[in-house]
Amino acid sequence: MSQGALTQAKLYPTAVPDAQWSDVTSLWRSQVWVEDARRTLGRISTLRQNWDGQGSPAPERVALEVMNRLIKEIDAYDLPTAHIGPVSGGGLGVEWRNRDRDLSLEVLPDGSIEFLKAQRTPSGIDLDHMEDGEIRVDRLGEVRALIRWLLGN
Amino acid sequence: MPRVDDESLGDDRVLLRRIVSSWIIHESGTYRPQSIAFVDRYTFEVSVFVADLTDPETVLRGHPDDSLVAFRVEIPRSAGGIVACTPENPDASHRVICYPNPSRMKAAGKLIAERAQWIKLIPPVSS
Repeated sequence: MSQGALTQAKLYPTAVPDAQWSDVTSLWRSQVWVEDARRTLGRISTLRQNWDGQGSPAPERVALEVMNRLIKEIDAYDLPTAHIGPVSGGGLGVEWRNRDRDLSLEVLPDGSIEFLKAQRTPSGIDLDHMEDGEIRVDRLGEVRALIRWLLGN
Repeated sequence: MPRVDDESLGDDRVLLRRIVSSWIIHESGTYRPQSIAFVDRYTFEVSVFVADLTDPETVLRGHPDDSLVAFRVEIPRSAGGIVACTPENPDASHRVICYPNPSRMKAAGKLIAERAQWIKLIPPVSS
């Protein structure tokens, strides 16, 4: 449980069980970014081969499906706008910026997922403040830890 | 033939890359390219042009809806990338950026997206 959740539990010790407060914030605002993301995904799904002018295949169906599942996994979070775009090769990327933290997730054409965390310093973003890795499709829940990092929890 | 770094290009030289509208972020009143604009999972080679060997109009010919950014050669090199000639391409200004692995490509994409400057920007219709 996050520190924020502990604070909520102290404020409402009897009326609200702890579990109610774990990792969930304003649902109304969350729906805004989720709806935007789904609209963008719909547009991307219409791209055809050579959409990049470099011969890239169209976004793969499996990549679109995994991106949809990713969004569903975190749709309760109050996040900034999710910037979703196609990646040359048939995959998709999404990135968020929250204060000094940037999180990029990439769904590869085969449906596998990679992430890149970048923390901004006073002189900008550099290689020493980046971390990348993979998320297994059968462990999509692991993306929540990345979202908590993005939010500074 | 394996790609080799074009050592005739100093780190201060400037590269141009076309940016399709789906790669443009509108945030806080400004536009910036997404880092995926500098990632290519199809060829694993990121297509660019040497700015002083061409001009924006030539690079964008046939792509009227695309935007154009510029960045210095040193940025992809700082992430372990090379900027290689493409003998198969008749355009003498054309180069490809190649990385030792996808992880480096992603990191470099982030750096380039942060530091690239717009040469021509066509805001996406949806923003």
